[in-house]
Amino acid sequence: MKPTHEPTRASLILRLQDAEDMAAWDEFATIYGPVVFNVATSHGFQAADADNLVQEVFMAVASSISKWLERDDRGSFRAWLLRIARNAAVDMITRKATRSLGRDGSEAHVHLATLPAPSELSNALDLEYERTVFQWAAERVRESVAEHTWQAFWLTTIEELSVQAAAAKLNTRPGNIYFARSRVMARIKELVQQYQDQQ
Amino acid sequence: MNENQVACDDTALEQMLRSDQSWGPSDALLSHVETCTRCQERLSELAGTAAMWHGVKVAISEAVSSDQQRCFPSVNLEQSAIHWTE
Repeated sequence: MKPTHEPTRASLILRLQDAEDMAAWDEFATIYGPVVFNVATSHGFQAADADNLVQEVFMAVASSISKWLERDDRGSFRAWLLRIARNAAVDMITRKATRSLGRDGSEAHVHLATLPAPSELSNALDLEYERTVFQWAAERVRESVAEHTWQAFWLTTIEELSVQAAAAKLNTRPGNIYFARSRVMARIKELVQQYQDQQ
Repeated sequence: MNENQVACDDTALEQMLRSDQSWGPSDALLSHVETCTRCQERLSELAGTAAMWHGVKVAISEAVSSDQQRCFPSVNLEQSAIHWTE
């Protein structure tokens, strides 16, 4: 069984200009939703606030991606997304604090001070992005390869069994394990590279 | 010609990595890889860098330990015999 070859991620971003393209938006949400959510919660956001932040980021992307794509100096999509996420986080913190407390905005000031610097946020986003793309790619490959192929990868890579032990458990010869586990990784790499190509 | 001379070939390894799974490695290639440390290492390198193997392992392990377990169900080793030539 061959893996399904997806359109390039560059074309995915182009497709986001069409708000009716549900497949493109679903895939975008699958990757970038957890990235924004996890970075937000790891920096002090409550889950509900992080969910709201994800929605605000997606709405901002939907409303401005066409203009961003027209820019010659647009840079990487991820850097743009980072700016959107940080601006949305600042807006959310400011609104929340202004509503709940500070006439003088002091509470907002305290929370904004705890928001990480752009460079720190960028690193966190990069790490979260890589992890999410790896998980997404692995899941896709898991669905597209035969069960024993995935098991060969799982046993030797995740459970760290030796090739000989995995072969014994799966009732096959070790050579099949060497090939099967590497096929899985090669296919994960293919999918991951589609995302890296457009960064 | 022994098995090492026949199969110690990166191109053959790469072709097998990219091949349709219905086309399994030949017995000669399997035998070679089972005894050739270089080809075992090359298979891993051709599939992904060491950093990628590590990164994928960490990412999946974290997913398994979180609420994403549904994405990576545990391996069922009690299943019936596995057929390696689909």
